[in-house]
Order: sequence, then structure tokens, then C-alpha cells
Amino acid sequence: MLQTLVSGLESGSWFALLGLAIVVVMKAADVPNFAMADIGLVATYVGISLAGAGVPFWLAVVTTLVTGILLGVVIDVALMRRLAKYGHFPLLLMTIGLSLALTALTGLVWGHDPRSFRAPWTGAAIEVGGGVAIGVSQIVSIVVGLLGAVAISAFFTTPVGAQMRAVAENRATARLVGVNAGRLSAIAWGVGGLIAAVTVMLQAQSALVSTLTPASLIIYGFVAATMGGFTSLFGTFAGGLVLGIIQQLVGTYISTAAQFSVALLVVFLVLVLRPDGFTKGMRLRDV
Amino acid sequence: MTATAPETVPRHAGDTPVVEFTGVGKSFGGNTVLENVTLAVRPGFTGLIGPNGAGKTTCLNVVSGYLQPDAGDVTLRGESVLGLSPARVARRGVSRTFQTPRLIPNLSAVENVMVGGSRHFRRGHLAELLGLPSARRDEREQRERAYDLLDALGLGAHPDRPANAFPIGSQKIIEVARALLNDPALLMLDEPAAGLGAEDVDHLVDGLNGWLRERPDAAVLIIEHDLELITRLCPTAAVLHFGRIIQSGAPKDVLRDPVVVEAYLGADLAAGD
Repeated sequence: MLQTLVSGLESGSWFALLGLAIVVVMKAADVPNFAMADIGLVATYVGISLAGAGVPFWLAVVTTLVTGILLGVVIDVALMRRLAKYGHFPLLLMTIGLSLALTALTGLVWGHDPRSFRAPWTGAAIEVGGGVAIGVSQIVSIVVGLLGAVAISAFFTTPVGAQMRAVAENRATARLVGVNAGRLSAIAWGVGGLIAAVTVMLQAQSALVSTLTPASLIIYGFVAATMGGFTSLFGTFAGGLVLGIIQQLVGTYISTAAQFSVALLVVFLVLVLRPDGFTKGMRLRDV
Repeated sequence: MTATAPETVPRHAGDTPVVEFTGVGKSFGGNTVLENVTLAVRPGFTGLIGPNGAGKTTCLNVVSGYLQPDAGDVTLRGESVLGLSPARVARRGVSRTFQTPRLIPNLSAVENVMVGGSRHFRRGHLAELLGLPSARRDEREQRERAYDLLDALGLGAHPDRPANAFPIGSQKIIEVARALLNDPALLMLDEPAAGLGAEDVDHLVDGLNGWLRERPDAAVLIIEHDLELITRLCPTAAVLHFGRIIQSGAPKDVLRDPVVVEAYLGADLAAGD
């Protein structure tokens, strides 16, 4: 049971982080980004290749993160900004197209075999008694997830964060009072790319990732974001964790084949029962 | 050391105009809203008055980059602002408030004020993202200044409540604080006193006076229907009527001018007065 919970928290942290990445871009650029997990995958594969070529682990990690940031910024500046004047729908389609294109490109360059990003702690475990062992990489995922959520929340209370929320809520007003909306949306995409890179990298350090990973990860990320009503960082983070636990419980006690359907059922229920997200009304600070 | 580095401005005698309209014209469809408006706004308070629909707000919109004029030029300290986006004009040091307050409803009052500090972020975004110590210090200063401004303008309690929880009058004060955080060279206030109680107006006036004492080279352009307030604050006022400047000078003289009285009250009332 403890094992299941920890595994749930671990994958929940990935879902939560990806959900946060989605919400950050949603908040500043007002686009649901379906390519988020693919950005993370490309960045992670760059890191894996470097590590495979003998580059020291931490340098490979930093390169992965920087790649995530750059991908996000380039996509915003080169693609999204040109489409912005045509409204939301083309932007949404663009992210879906990008997702397909990035997956295909990753397959072409790196192949479709599952890969892992070996960290010094990959495979290590801590005995917690009763014959239960918790993987160090699980702890790393959970801790990084928590730190990421705290850092992002803190960021949104800074003046730049306040400007970002202002842009998200009312772009026209924000611009009228002098906010540089373009630069803020590039920052949001960069931050989003960074979080996505962290997410997929963590997953690759604990398990295997392949070109199939983004398709399911993005759905879980969106489920988490939906639970936060696409606005609340806390709701998104908690939603991701809860989803991870539900998914592991379903996998352990019902069937791993049912995991995905249950996740979709959760979205359905959230949208029907609490369309604003399940923390709405708790008087928590929304982003 | 302050976080601000406003562009260095030659400090001539307080007479160099901060903003100059030269032959500005603007029409919407066939409807002429501004016609050959020429106006120099010098440091200190300047009033812009006139009946409803005279084109006063359009004047502000033309300066702030929200509208582009069809004719003429608008310069800020000698440099044209035409063709610049509102964000760039703001970063050059033009701040404004709106007739109907435009705040971000779910942000707190103090956060709304912080949104106005765009001028300080010209080089600070990256530093802030990385959490560099200099950025943290700037950020703290920004936040403190935001609280101080709200306090100086008399917002009173609860600066951390969401903006939409405040009555209209307080929202106007939050807007003024947001504009001041930008350390503007030109502050434009669109009916700042409308919806404010007498005591709130006094606070606002004190706050503005205090700010202007520290920035003697800054100009404040006020649109206001409260002519008493204009008389109290502004050494000069210009009267706009059907898109034209029909008179300008000391408010007391301007308001006695028969042409102005007629524009304001209509010919009949003026005759009966």
C-alpha cells in the first residue's frame, strides 16, 4: 500500500509539473499547449544523447533544461506570435500540430525505442522496513515536484508574475499600462518549456520514456490542469498528485489497462461537477 | 540608491513642454473628434476641460499610443511618440488613469499597482527569473513603493484585498498609484475625482502634490469636470470644445471667458447668467 502511494505521488508529481507548465503558458499566453510534453521529450533526448556521449551528468541535466527553455521561447517567438492575431483557435491547432511534428521528428532522430536518462541515483532504493523499498528517484521526483510548485507560486507573486497575471486576465489593459506582453509571453513559454523538460527528465531517470510518452503524459497534465480550473496553481498541483495516486490504485487493484480510462473519467467528473476546478471557492489565491 | 533610472532629462527652467500637441487631428469615420489641436503641457498641473464629447479622452488616447492621430504630431520631451505601442509609450514615461477604472479584478490592490512598474523592468526580467539578489532587492523596493503610494494617496486599509472588492472611488486611487509607480514624466488623469468623496479628493490632491514636489520636471494633465478642483490645482487650463482648443490660460480667467461659458452652459443660460 505504501509502495503504491509513493508510486502514485511520484507519477502524480510528473502530472502536476506538466499541469503547471500548461497553466503557466495558459496564464500568460492564453493557449492550451498540447505540445508541452513533446517539448520536454525533445529536451530530455538531447540530454540522454549527451550523457551517452560521455558528457558529465549534471552538464547533461543543465543542457536538457536550457533546451526546454529555448524550445519554448523559439516556438512562441517564431510560431505562436505570428498566429496570435488570428485568435485562439489557430493557436490551439498549432500546438496540436507541433505535438505531432515534434513526436515524428524525435522518432526520426532518436528512433522509437524506449530510453532512460541514468542518474547517479537511478536504481538506488531506501529500505523503509516491512520489506518495502522506496526508490531514490521516486523521492527526487516528489521533492522536485514540490519545490517546482513552490517556486512557480512564489514567482507569480513577484512584480513580473503580477504583470503576467495581468496580461492573462486582460491583455489590453495590461498593455495600456505599459506591460510588455510579448516579452512576458516568451518568458511564460520559456518557463513552461523548462518545467516540461524537468518533468520528462524525471520520468526518464526513474523509468523509460519513448515517443509514446508525450501522448499520455499530456492528457494527464491536462487532467491536472482541469482540476485546477486552468487557473489555480495549487489546484493543479494537488490535482496532479491525486490523479497519480488514483491511477496507481487503479493499476494495483483493478487493472493497468483501466488507468487511462479512469483519468479521462476524472476529467469528465471534474468538468461536470466543478467546471471551475475543484479548489474554486476555497478562497485560495488563484493565479 | 533607487531601483529607477529614469532617462536623464535636461532640467531647463520649468518651461520646456513635457508634451506638445502640434496640429493634431483625429476623426472616426466622418466624425471629427480632434481638429488642429495645438497644446503644450509644461511641468506641473495642467487642466483639460470641456463639455462631454469634446475630445478630451481622445487627447489622452493619442498621447498614450492607444489611438494614432490622422494629422499633426505629439512629442514627449521633443521626441515624437507617434507609431509607438501603448507599452512603449508607457516605458518612455507616460502613465495614465482611465475614466472607468481599468484594474485587473482578481489581483490585489497592491499587485495592481506593481503591474504599473514596467519602466523598471527594462533589463530586469531575466535577473528576476533567476532570482538574482539585485532583482530581489528591486522587487522588494517595488512592493514597498506600491504600499507607500497607496498609503500616500489615502487608500486606507486592506491593500491586499482583490481590486474588485473596492468601490469605484478607491479603484481610481489604485489606478493613480499604479500610474505613479512608473515614475512618469507625464501623468494623465481622466476624471480622477469623479466618484470620490471630498475627503478622498483631499488625500488625492495631497498625494499628487507630494509626488510633484519630488519630481518638479514632471507634468500632470488632468481631465476633470470638477472645475473647483481644476482651479485649485492647475495654474493653466485648456478648454476643448468640439475637438478644438477654444481657450487656455489661468483657470479663473478661462472660466470667465464668454466663449467658454457658452460652450459649457449653452448660449441661453450664459445670457441669463
